[in-house]
Amino acid sequence: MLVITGTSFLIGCSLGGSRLNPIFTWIFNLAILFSNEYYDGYRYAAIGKSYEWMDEYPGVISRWHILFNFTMLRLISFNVDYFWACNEKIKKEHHASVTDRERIQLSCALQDYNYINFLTYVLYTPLLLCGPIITFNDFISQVGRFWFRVLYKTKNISISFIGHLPTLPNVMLYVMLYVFWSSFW
Amino acid sequence: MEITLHYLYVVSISKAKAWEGDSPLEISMVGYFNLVIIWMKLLIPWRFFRLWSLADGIWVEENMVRCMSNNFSAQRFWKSWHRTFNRWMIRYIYVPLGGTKYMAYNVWLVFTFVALWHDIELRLLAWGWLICLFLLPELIATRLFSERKVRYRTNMMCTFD
Repeated sequence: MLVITGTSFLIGCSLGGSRLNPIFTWIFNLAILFSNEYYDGYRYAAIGKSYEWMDEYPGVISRWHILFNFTMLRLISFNVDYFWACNEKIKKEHHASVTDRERIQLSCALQDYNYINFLTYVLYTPLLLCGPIITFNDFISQVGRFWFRVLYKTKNISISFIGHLPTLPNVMLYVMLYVFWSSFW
Repeated sequence: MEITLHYLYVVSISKAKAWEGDSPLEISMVGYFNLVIIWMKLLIPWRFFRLWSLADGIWVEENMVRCMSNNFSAQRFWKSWHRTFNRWMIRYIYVPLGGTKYMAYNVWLVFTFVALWHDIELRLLAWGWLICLFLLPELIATRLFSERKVRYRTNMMCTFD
C-alpha cells in the first residue's frame, strides 16, 4: 500500500502544475483499480512458491484492496488539488472564519502539499476504511485548528448516535414491514 | 442490525431466491426493503467513522443526508446517498468535464466510474448505465419545464388576460 500511494505521490509531486499531472494520476489510479481486482489484492504466492505460506496470514483486513478504493479517491484528490494550487493565478488567503465550501475550494500554501501531510491525509485512521470522503484542501485546512463549532456539533451527534444505534431504525423497519404484511393477509 | 435481519427476513428471501409464487407487488417490496436495509447497513459505519473524526476535530460531511423513503426525484436521491462520494465526483469529474451544461453526456461517464469503482463487473456497468437511462427523462423534463420558463409563461398569460 505504501508503494502504491508513494507512486501516486511521486506522480503528483513531480508533475505538479503540468497538465500531465491529472492525466497520469487518473491513468495510474484506474490501472491500480483494475490490477487490484485482477490480482485479488496481490498474493505472496505470485512471487514464488516458497512465499506461499505468508498468504495464510492475511492480517485483520484480508480484503484490503476492496477498501482501498476509498484511499484511491484521496490519492486523486491530493494530486488534483495540488495541480490546481500550482495553476492558481490569484492566491486567495485563508481568513479566520472560512465556510465549509471555502475550505474545499481554497488551495493550501504550496509547501503544504508535502509527503508528511500526504500520509496524514491518506492514512488518517477514522476515515481510512470507508470514509466519509474529505478533500485534501479541506482536511489540511482543519488539521491543528481548534473548531468550537465542531466540538459543539459532536456533542449532539454523539448523543443521537448512541440513541440511534440499537433502537430506532430496527423498530421502525419492523413496524413498517409488519404494517405492510398485515395489510395483505 | 442482527435483530433487523432476523425479523425483516427480506435479505434471506432475496439471497435464497425464495420469491416463487409471490405477486409483483410482493417482489417489489422485497426489493424495496432490501434497499432500506442497505441504507441502514451503510449508515451505521459511516456515522460511526464520522463521529470518530469529528471527535478528533476534523469536520466531514454527513454521508446519508436524508431518509430512503422520502425522495421525490432520482437526481435528489443520488445527491444524498453516499453524499461525500457525490461531492468528490462533482469536484473531480463532473465540473472538469463541463458541469451542468453537458450533464446529459457526462452523467454516463460519471456512472461508468461509479460502477468501476464499486467493483469491476459487467453487471455493475449495466447497472450504472441503466441508472443514466432512467435519469434521462427526468433531466429532459427538468430542462423543458424549468422554473424560469414556467414562470415566464404564466406571466405572459397573465398579461394577455
